[in-house]
Amino acid sequence: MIGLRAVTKRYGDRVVLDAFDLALDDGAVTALLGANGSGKTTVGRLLLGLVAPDVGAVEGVAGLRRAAQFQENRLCEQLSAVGNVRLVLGRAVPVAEVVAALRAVGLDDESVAKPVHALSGGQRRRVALVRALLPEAELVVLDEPFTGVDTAAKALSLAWAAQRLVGRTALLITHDEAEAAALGARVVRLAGRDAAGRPAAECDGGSSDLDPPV
Amino acid sequence: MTSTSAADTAAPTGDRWRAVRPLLAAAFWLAVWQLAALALHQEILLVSPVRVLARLAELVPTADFWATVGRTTGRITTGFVAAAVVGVMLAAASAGSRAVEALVKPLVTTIRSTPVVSFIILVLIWASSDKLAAIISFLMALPIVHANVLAGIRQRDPKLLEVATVFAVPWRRRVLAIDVPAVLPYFVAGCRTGVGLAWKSGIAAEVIGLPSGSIGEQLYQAKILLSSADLFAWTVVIVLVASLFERVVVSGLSLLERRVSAGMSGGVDAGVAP
Amino acid sequence: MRRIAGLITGALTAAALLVGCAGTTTAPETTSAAPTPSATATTPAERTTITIASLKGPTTMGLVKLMSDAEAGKGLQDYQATMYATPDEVVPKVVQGQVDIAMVPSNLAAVLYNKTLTDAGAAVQVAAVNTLGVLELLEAGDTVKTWADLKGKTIYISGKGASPEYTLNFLLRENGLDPATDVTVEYKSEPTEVAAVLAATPGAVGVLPQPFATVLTMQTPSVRPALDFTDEWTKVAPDSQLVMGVVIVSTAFLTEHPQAFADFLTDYQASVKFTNDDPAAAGELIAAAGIVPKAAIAAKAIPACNITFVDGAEMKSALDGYLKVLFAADPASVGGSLPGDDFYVGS
Repeated sequence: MIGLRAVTKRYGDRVVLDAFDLALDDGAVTALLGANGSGKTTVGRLLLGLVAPDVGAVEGVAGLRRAAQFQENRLCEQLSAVGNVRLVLGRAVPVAEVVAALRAVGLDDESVAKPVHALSGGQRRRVALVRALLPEAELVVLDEPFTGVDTAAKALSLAWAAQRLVGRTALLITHDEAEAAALGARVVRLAGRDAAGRPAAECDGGSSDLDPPV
Repeated sequence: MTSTSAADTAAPTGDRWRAVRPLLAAAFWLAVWQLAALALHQEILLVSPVRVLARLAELVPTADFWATVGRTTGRITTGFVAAAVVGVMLAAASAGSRAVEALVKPLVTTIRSTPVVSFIILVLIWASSDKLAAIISFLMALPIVHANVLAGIRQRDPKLLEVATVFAVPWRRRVLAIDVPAVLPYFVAGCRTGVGLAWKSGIAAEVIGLPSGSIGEQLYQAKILLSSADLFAWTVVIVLVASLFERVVVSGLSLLERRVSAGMSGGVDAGVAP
Repeated sequence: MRRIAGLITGALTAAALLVGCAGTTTAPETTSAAPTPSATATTPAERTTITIASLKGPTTMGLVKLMSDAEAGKGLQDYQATMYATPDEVVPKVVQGQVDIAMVPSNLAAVLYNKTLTDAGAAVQVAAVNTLGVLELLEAGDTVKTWADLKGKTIYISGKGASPEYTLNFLLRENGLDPATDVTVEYKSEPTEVAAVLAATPGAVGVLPQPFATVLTMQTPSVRPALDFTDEWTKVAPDSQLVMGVVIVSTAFLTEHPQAFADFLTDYQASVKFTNDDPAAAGELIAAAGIVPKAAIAAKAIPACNITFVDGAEMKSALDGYLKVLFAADPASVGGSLPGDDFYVGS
């Protein structure tokens, strides 16, 4: 089982997660929804091992090959889209395959070769997406993967992502229920703070139920 | 871009004057210098620019001149390159380990605060004069490169470093893609300052240590034989060679950076139709 | 714009002219009221203060009697003598007119003459030769017997730009060695540094002037004299003499105080004679002046120092001959051209 068990995480006096449990579906996408500041990104960072919990444990992640698309693009500005993806892939994967993936999310030949600082916001977001999904990773965290991507490109990207996510354990952090649905994810909601100021989590069964966000 | 002075009434654009202005300023000061030299009429106190140019014209075609310039340039280059390499290594080591940093810091601070002359005298006791310029250039440039590169390393974007951690990018690729571009501007700045310092201190070392066939020796000779023309002529040579050297270093580094990025972006053109 | 340029140029030119005027007259340090241009002495009681710059070595060794008499007030004039360790301390003082009389290496005298030459004539002139050959090649070992043995070795020497450098280069070339490629010449600032290297490094080879050579061989038995430059010079250039040091005087001083200068020469000649005739007593003064550590060593070194007083025609022929040799090897060593007759006092 990959997930969080009874995790409490504080930043200063602010308690972001309090005795939080989360179990990711094996070989499938789990979507984490919630308002801003509810701790979704923190959950992602805990799973990736970038931060440690104050109380509790992150389970099942030891030795896993990981991949992530962060909230910010975090690209190497002077490299091209291909260069950025190859940075994490190495030489094992041929350039043609990288280019094909970038084309699949709607980047044209010219954009693929330019340094990424010359690309638009939506294009850069998609490069980060390809970088996250092209490697053969055992745990993938996608944090609001389609921010700033226009509708047409988003459709292409969603289709490609869905295909890449088949059989992979992944956490999708998003506001958008439609995205979660498109990727066949089980939805978990991170509620905002309750009256006592502590976050709560609810688990929805079945991805077809789309309750309005709390 | 509007004309601002009455003198510009003839020129339609400010741009035209901008290119010519530095040349006019230089010509003005050269004229002042020439007039002052003529007025003093004592070559020993102030030699005229014409005389300096004439002396340069005499010196430059000789084989001795180029051999001398070559020797000194070689020595200072050696010192500077060593400082760049060691500076980067020490900075990387310091960034990686508190213990190393604690050991290296007092060393570098001492070198930086000690006056050049003290080093020159010390080194002359330990080594022969022909190694002097290289050692002194090295000592003067090292703390600069070290400090700059260390600052650059510390300024690396932690977000990008997290990407490298998450994807378990091997250190070689990480260095080329993330560290080098982040540190390079700092390194270049350090080199720029370091080159100037290396040249000034290297020549000063040569004037004191007097290695044979060096530019410093020529300066000393000009002093003792009271030849102002030679002094000025050789000084002009030093300034020109040093700035040329600096330009080569900086453009070389930019070229390197472009090569690295292109290499990492990985022969894209081969697989992609233009 | 043009007006401002004109004003600045004018101001700078004015400033330059002022500096120029100040620079061409040497600062008179006389206490007498009226300058006496004629050679005939007018008031015998006139005393002038004469500033003298000398070098740490044979030149001061010949001067010590004069200096000690001056302290007691017994000289014909008042003398203010200062000893310097290196020629490049003395040269600027001559240029700036801060000394009336200076003892300098012979080639630098020619350089000074050439570089301070004005339309009005020479600003410095040479009055006497005071040091003939004093250089010796020493070795901290026993392998160097001939010039050829020096090949591939490092030779330590002091006196860059002065007679030692040119003398060494001349002798090397005449004996078949190229100073640039066959040997490595390391220049130190002072003879004492060379002595220190020879004392500390077995196998080292160095050139020292007297009295430092004698001092070193007496204190450090492992160092022996290998070649005597005066002898070697005679072997390759028998028609000229090795003239290492001379006495120069500023023309302005000479013109304004000819009697005072004549008095100086009298006192100086007597001082040189004293040093050569009574080495024991002179040795005491030399040790007191700090040139040589012990009086006994100084006394022993005096004969080798070739301290002398040669003026007039003999001075001219000796010095001119030596300068011609230097000029032929490297014109820059004498300041670009051989000095004319107005360089020599009394010609």
